[in-house]
Amino acid sequence: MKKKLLLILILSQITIASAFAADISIDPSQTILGARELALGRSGIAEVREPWNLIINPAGLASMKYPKFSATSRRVVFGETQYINVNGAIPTDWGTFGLGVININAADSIQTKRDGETNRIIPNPSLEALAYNNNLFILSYSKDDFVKKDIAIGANLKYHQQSFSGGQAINAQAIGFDLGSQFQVNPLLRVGANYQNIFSSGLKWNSTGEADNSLGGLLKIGSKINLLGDKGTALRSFKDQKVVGYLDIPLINSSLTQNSYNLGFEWLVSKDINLRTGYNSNFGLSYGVGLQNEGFRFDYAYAPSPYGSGNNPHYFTLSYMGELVKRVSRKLINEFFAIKFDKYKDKAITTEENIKFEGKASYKKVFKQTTSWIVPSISQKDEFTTVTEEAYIDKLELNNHKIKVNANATFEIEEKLYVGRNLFYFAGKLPKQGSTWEAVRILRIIPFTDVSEDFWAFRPIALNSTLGIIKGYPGNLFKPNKGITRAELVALLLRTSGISKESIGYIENPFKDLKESFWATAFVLKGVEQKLVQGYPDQTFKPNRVLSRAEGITIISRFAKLKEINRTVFPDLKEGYWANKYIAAAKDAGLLKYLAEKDFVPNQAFTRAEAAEVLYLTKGIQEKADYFWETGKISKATTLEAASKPTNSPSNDKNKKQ
Amino acid sequence: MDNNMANNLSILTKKILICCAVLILFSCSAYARITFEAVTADSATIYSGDTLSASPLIIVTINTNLNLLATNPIILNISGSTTSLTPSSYSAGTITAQHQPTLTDGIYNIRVSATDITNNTRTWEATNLIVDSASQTTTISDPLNFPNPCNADTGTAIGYKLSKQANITLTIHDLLGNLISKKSYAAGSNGGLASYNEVTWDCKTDSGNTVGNGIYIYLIVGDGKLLSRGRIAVIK
Repeated sequence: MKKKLLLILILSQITIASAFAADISIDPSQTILGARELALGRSGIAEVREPWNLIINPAGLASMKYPKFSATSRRVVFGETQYINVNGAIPTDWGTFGLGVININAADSIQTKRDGETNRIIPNPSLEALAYNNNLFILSYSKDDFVKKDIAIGANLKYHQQSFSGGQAINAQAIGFDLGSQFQVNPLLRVGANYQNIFSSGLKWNSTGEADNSLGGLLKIGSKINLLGDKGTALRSFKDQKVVGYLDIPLINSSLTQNSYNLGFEWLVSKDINLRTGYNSNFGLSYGVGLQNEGFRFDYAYAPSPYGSGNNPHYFTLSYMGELVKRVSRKLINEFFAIKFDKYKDKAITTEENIKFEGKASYKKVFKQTTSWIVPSISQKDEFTTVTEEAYIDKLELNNHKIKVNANATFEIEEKLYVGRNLFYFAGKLPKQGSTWEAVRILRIIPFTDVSEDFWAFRPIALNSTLGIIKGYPGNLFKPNKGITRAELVALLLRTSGISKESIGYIENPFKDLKESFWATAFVLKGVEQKLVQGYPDQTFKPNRVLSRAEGITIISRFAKLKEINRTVFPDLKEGYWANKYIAAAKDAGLLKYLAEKDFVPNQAFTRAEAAEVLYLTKGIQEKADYFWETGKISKATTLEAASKPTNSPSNDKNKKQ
Repeated sequence: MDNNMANNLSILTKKILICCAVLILFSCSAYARITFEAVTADSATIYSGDTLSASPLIIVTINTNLNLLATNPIILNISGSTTSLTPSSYSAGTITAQHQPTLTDGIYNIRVSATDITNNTRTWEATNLIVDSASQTTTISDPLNFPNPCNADTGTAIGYKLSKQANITLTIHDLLGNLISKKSYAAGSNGGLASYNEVTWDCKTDSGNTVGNGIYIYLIVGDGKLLSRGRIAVIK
């Protein structure tokens, strides 16, 4: 079907041109003088997306995506003619529109006479020399996927204007029409045909006799074939090389231009450099090179004339090739080694006697990648992404002992755990890129029999008991859901502050229910002195009374010196409730995460587990915990130094280049 | 008749006889006419300033209404070197004589004299004729064509001088270099003479189509080298 359509298109273009058999005038668009095309033997009927398509075959402009322009200016024919050509095209949603202007002119055609004596031809000084000017204006339109996919069609409307000046001032105008088409037969082969002056009005001169000159029609067919290129798009593929071949053949010619067969080859050495050679049956061999940068292309051709030495064989054309250029740049913004563990994280707490580490050792570079989409001199759009590249560490040590790393940088190793903090120091090295380390601290505890690892407060209970802040009961019990008494909480808080019973001096006891022999009397009196708690109006303290949740949070809030906030923060607390200011402060400080999305239930017993949880989250206890993780030691004070480097680690500087 | 009258008559008669003699002599001189039809070198008419080949075939064509002198009627003088030419005929009419000298490079003056039986001598002369046997052929002056502008009805003649005879190719192109017409001229024949040449173009392509108005460039190529070029205006 495609072949039939192509044949119809070609045949439809074989029409009878303007039937002026004599007096054929020059049509500047029928001679190709672009440097690229000259180097290709003046071929290009099946070429696409080149500015000179406007002249050679306007159908080739149809698939343009960006504007293109071209300019050529030089003296031709041994310097006798001044030739200027400017052409360009712009694609739109409705097709591609092009505009071209060609001017040729020559002067100093001397008027003559015969010498009276010798009868030889001599200049006639009484008559002015003649000059000739020829202007051609071209308006082009082309459309891709015309009627059928892969078929492009293009047309030129041409306005010719010629004139003489000097001895004779005469001029003429004419209209011409070109019709071209192209067809992508398959990914390798594209064919085309162009009929110049398929119709023209003829030049009417205003000289005496009103001579009519015809413009002459010229029908050529051509092909473009990918000789070397990507597999599936060329005859052969060879190491990413790209070579394209062109062949044009004349079919009908009633113009002044001689029939010529045009053969060309172009080697795309790189995206910026092309080498060309061609053969034209009238003009012989030619050669050329194209250099492209930032959307501009400079073409050079060496095309000597076969009509004698002395003609300047060098041709130059400057073009703007508005292709979309993609440019990618990267800037390194971060690089780091990473030893990742699949299961155990740093500061994990376990009751296991052994631990198996499984992880991956890798080195990563993070780049800020900028992808620029540039239409040179017209627009630029930048896209930013973050790109991470990963390499693998192959030398890994654990506590200064080498461990095996698998081919995909994974590793597995099992180690014994001791009760208390266990430090596992992993160190990895990459040649010339320094080393890194990753410390994993695992706390092994002897668990309370009534606190399982999946108990909601397992971690704070384990840490608080390890830190000595809260103790269990005989029989290795913790009794997590037991309500904590007033005396117990006060004593707990004061011991947390590093205040021992023995260190408390004499404090007058105002409470009639607080005996000297009571284990917590000193702590209670100290707590009252520090305004952590207060007694009842009846001069009792009720030390064994279980605290309500509201009371417990209030005491801890005072202990943590949280600033009171007058706000209701739980749905079941009424405005004006006495403990709102302490509860709101505790919640804002992040101490009540275990009550998220729940009612406060203020009169519910404040349990030991809750006390462990809330206390754990206070700043002072957090600092004790951090110190413990860092050093393995237990600080006796709530105010701690800043965390120092882990024990037995060679350096605390990660990614240090050695 | 007295003596005075006789004397007067004798004097008058003498005067009349003298006048008649003078008249006869005058009429004889006016009647004796020699004209140079042409003096050519290698078939090209010689004019002052022309070029000659190193061995030009000089042909003198004269027209005389009286017989030529029996001995040395035509003398060829080339810069002082004289040669008596043998005429094709001594009888009145068109007579030719030729000579092919060998000339070294230089500038020459040529004088030809022809004498009839009445010793009437006519002289023809051309000066500053150049002989240059350099290896390269060059045109002496920029070629011109006449008429200019021209058209298919008039055609045009292209005239140019060559310093030496050569095989010449004349190509005519449009302003963008496309070949319109191509003609070749052999050395020694018109178009390739070591002298002034004139060839014609009919303002048509080699395939017979008339060219339209415009300027056309012609190239004169000799020995593969462009010798000169010119511009022909075609206006119908």
